[in-house]
Amino acid sequence: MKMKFTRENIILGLIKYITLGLLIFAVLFPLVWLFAGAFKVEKQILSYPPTIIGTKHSLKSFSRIFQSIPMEIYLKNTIIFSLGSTTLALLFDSLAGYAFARLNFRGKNFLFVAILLTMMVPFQVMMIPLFLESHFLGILNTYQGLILPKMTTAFGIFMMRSYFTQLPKDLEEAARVDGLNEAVIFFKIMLPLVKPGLLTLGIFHLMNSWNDLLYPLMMTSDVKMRTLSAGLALFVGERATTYYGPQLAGAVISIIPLLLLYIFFQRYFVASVATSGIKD
Amino acid sequence: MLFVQRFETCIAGRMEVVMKKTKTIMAILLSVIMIAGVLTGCNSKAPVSTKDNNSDNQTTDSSSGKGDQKEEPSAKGVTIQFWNAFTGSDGDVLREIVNRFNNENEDGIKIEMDIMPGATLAEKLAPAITTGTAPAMILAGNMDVVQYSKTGSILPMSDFFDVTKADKSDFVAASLESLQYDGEQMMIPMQWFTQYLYYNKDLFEAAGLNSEIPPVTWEEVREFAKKITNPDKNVFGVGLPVGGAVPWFGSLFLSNGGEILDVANKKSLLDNEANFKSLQFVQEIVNSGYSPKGSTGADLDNLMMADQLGMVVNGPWMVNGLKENEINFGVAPLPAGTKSTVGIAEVTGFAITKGTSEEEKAAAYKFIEFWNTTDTCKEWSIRNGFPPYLKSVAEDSEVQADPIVSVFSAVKDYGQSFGTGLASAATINNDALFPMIENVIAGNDCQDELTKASAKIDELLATE
Amino acid sequence: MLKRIGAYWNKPSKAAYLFLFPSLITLFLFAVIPLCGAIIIGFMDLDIYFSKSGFAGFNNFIKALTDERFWNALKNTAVFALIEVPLQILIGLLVANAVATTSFFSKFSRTIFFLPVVCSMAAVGIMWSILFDGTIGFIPYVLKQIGIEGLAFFRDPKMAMGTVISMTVWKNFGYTMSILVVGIQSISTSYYEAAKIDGASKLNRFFYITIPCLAPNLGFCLITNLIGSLQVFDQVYVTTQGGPQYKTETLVQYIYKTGFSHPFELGYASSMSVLLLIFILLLSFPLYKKVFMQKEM
Repeated sequence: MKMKFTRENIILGLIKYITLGLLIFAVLFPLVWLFAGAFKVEKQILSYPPTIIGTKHSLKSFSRIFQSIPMEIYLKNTIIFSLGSTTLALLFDSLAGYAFARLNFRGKNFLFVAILLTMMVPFQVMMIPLFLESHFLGILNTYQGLILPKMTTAFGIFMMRSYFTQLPKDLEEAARVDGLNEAVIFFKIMLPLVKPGLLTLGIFHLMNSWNDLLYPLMMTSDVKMRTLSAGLALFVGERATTYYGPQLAGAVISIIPLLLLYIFFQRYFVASVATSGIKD
Repeated sequence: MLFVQRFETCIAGRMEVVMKKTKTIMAILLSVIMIAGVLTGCNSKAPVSTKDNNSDNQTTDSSSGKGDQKEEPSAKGVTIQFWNAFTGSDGDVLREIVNRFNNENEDGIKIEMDIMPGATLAEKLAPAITTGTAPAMILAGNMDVVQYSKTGSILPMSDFFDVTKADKSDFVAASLESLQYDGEQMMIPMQWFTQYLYYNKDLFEAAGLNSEIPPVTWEEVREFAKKITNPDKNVFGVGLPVGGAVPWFGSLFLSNGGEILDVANKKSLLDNEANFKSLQFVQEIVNSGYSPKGSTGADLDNLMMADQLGMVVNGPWMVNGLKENEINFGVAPLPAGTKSTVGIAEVTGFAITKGTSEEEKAAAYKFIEFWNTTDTCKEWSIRNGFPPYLKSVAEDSEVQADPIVSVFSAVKDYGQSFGTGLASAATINNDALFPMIENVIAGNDCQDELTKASAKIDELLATE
Repeated sequence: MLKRIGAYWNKPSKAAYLFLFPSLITLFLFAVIPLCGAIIIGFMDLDIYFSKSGFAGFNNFIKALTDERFWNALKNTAVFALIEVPLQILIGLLVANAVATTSFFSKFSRTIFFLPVVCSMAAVGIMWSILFDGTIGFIPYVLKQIGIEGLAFFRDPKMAMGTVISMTVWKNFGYTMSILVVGIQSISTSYYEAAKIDGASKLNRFFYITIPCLAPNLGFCLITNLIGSLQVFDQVYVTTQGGPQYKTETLVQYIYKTGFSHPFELGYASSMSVLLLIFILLLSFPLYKKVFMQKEM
């Protein structure tokens, strides 16, 4: 396509690049300021006039937040919770998604609609009974308690179903002719074919559980079970904590792991939200 | 359909192979699930284990027929959770003392501290108690005593002085009394304090004021604030927090002769002329720009530590932070109102929560005993500037010589407690009085707010 | 027993139930039961100490309808949804349209715009509260230099909701953008070529080709954002906690406060969450059906 340098094109182009430039600045500025702030000495965060980068830096904010709250435990819990729930959810979501996409059975439509309906019920509506239920099951403040309810998601099933639907029609029939049973067909033939889908859904789950706030906040009261998001939110709380530096440092620590992952797997991160918008 | 038939004939032939494969896959699946279960199970063992054996204890307690019940509970090697709201710089000192106790105590007791904002602590505590996941020990204020006692959230500690070596007669009587309910000692003091006026000496001098003469009346506070305020440098004269702070307005009301509660008749006395005038006074200061609008206690602490705030009313805990940030500050008793000088006095106490096992309780007692020794209390007084509630500390020459602690000891001169004996004391403070102040500072009509808050207090008192 | 399960694996129509089993049981335990629980508890007089428990009939629901704070929270939630959702979709759409090409600059922009989506709301909340702090924040300082003074953002009753909305849009527009970029890229270029030959301007092409072709994607964004914004909690919890003067208290924030802080009324909180569910269903079900269930229903 050739671009014609008409007046309309030039003006639109200018507006476009200036606006985009401003937007990039608006997105990056708070992040740069946050990272710089985490290394500033406390007095410089508060100094007037304020600065972006500051002149005196130290690691004091980091050491202070590790003293104030057990960040290493939060980090460990977050990793266990997000990896554990992601792995299980991937397995179960793809099992169920596969069944809906490729198998015929009685009650298929009913079950699928029912599952989609649970997706509409926000977690907030169920949180009180879920909290009580977990209490009666004795899994409050445990990793099981955090992971089990997140073992499968309606959305994940929906997404895996659309991945499996896209595969060529006769794949499994050939396999069945060869006498393979359904489980083998699923694990050996079908699952490897949706690897990109798994990675995408995995990132989606990972991101959600890593950043989840209300859920871990409710399901844990023990400091040793708290996740990063919940721990940070509690630490900052309502109008309570003196010292801004450690808050910034905590925010930086909670962001960095996903940020690194994002840099390496950017494609899948974007796909994880983008494909969620594709319908079969 | 044809496919199915073919499939079924196939199966007949290959049944054996298939069964084997099925088994392997079932085995894999099962083991995945089991590994997941076991992994999570193993990992979670540690945190729940203390509570597990706690519930065991409770069941044996209730079935109480067994002979070994009489044995002294041993605190040896017990780990307990300890929640408190020391989010400020005083928390650093507390953490140091707790760490020292953990390293030095002979019983191998370990205290795991969890510091969170006060509102959060209250929020997390109730569900934790219901679900048996509460910490053994918490710090709470005297305003919480009645509510926590009524809901059975905390256990009586009347046996503390029998079980431990702590000397009851060493405690100032008032500090113990404010933590009692229904004839039981519900908490053991950890600190007591009232409010004081902090001021920044450098800013005083920059405004041409004598840095050794703090204001002695609230009216003077306004005059000084006017001089100190400097918008070009983002310097404010006085901080008036709208939340997350000591009830400074209560002190202002009372010292201007306005009353708040009629405890005996469970009625609000808030709506009166004196309080109206006090609110107007507050609003005028904010409208003149001498005070930042809508700031919280923590915001103002930070402004103080950045040399941007001339004066603020706060508790003793600010001393440590101000020293650490090398602020040239002074502390004075609260300014006088039109009638007298009054500061709301508060006591923080150790409490043992419901569901705590005898072993955990014994461990907590050991720590509380350690805290209430002359040495520890003296350290807390001098490093954080808290007025001593132990007579032996008050008489200590080093404490008496400390200029800051001596100012703080004014608690016995003008300290007055708030809402003693009311379950809703804390709620009145947080849900009626602070919102009123927040709205007045935001510019709402003073009389409207006074009427509204008074009605809210009556509503809360009606539930007593 | 094992043998019989084994036999199941060989018949697709039966194996399907085995495939579904873990998901169904999980959803039953942790979605269906809690949902029924919410409705039951909503009709009960229950607090967190279990000190009172009994059937309350419609009392909780009546209480909600006469509770000023409930209506206030409902209003705030509506305001949030009505402003945040269109704003985010509009910005997402415009940006997506600008960066859907494969040039380096477009790819770079997309990378940047997606960054906030990766960050947790807790971290973003901390960042924004300090950056926009009325007394020490950097943004109010810059505004002061250009003559706009005294803005307190999160602490100003008039501005707090606007600030919360801005923060949410800042964090989430990259999400909407990514969905729409994929949509735009999948529009056949022949449409544009043809329009060009007919002499349609860029704006015309945007309105008459891009938007109609994106309708399904826009529908998806609308539904997910709408449901999400009716449940808004995180951003309020980590910044204003509902203040000042309850101006940012959303429904979920109020439900959380009622159930999990003094007075810990689980029954009342549950009844409000049932009302929330009803609102969500009423508002989004028609759209939801269209987006997710076209073929199934």
